[in-house]
Amino acid sequence: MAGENSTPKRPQSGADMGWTALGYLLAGIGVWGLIGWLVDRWLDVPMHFGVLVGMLIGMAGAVYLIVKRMGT
Amino acid sequence: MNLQLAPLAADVPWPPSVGEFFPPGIGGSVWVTKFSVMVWIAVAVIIVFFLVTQRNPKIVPTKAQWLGESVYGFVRNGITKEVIGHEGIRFAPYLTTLFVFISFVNLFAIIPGFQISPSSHIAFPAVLALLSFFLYWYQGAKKHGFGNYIKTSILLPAPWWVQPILLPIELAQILLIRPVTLAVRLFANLFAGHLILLVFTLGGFVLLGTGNIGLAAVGLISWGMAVVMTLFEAGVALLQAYVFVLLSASYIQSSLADEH
Repeated sequence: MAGENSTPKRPQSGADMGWTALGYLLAGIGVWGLIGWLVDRWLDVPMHFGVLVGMLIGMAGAVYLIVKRMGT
Repeated sequence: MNLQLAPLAADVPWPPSVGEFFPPGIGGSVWVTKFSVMVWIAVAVIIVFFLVTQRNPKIVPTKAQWLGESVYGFVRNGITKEVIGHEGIRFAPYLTTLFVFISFVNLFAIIPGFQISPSSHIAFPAVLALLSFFLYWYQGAKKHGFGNYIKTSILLPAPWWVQPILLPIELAQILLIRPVTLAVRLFANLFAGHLILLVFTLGGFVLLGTGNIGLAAVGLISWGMAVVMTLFEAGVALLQAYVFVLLSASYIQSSLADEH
């Protein structure tokens, strides 16, 4: 974007990008899975439905972030 | 299975357990263990190494000076400049120290007489990861201001209705996932490496001790594997030090970056 002056965005090395992507996926699924689980506990949702939906949302969010951050 | 153990294998601690990673204190102290002594040795050796190699620098480097300079040059040019850019040269001393220290401490896993690395105890990688963690937070906060830093590192140019989904992910990423994976990756690699070496070496003793010719042959193969895995561990030790430093550099870079 416009604010790039002193530290340009550098091309990341392969391993570096891999770890970042993995981190996003873990964070996404973990955090939203946890939120889903809490909703499960709170509303007594049957069959861990909240965890399931949460993890899917988290995964989608993580993929979105990876594409946004690292896609060219 | 009820193995008849010969005297050879009688005093081998089999099977290896997690207790291996919690050595008893030395001299009745709870605080000084084998691990702390190894860390002291590593620190002393590294200080002496750099003092000796850089004490009297010449234009045409001596062999020792060349050795010290090439280690520093590798981290400075190969990692720091590559990942952070020119602005990052001021982090080269920190990253070099980190690299040399972690490599050395990791290599204790295969140095005869020590044969276990402090890195296989979660406390040591955790402290190193916290150092990098505070460094990139501090640098980000110093450059952008604290609130601004959080804003630039968390908020993305995305539609407003996606933000609530992404916010917790980004927060967890910079607060939790980064330092934890940094520590756990180093710890788990060294932990698993030590267990593998234990299983092959001690397993060889146990198999030889059974007195069965077939099992004894397998025991010899097991020792052969122990040798191979030792060489493999040397590679893992250096690779993990490199990865740790590379990721630290990349986190610092993302803290300094104006936007993502």
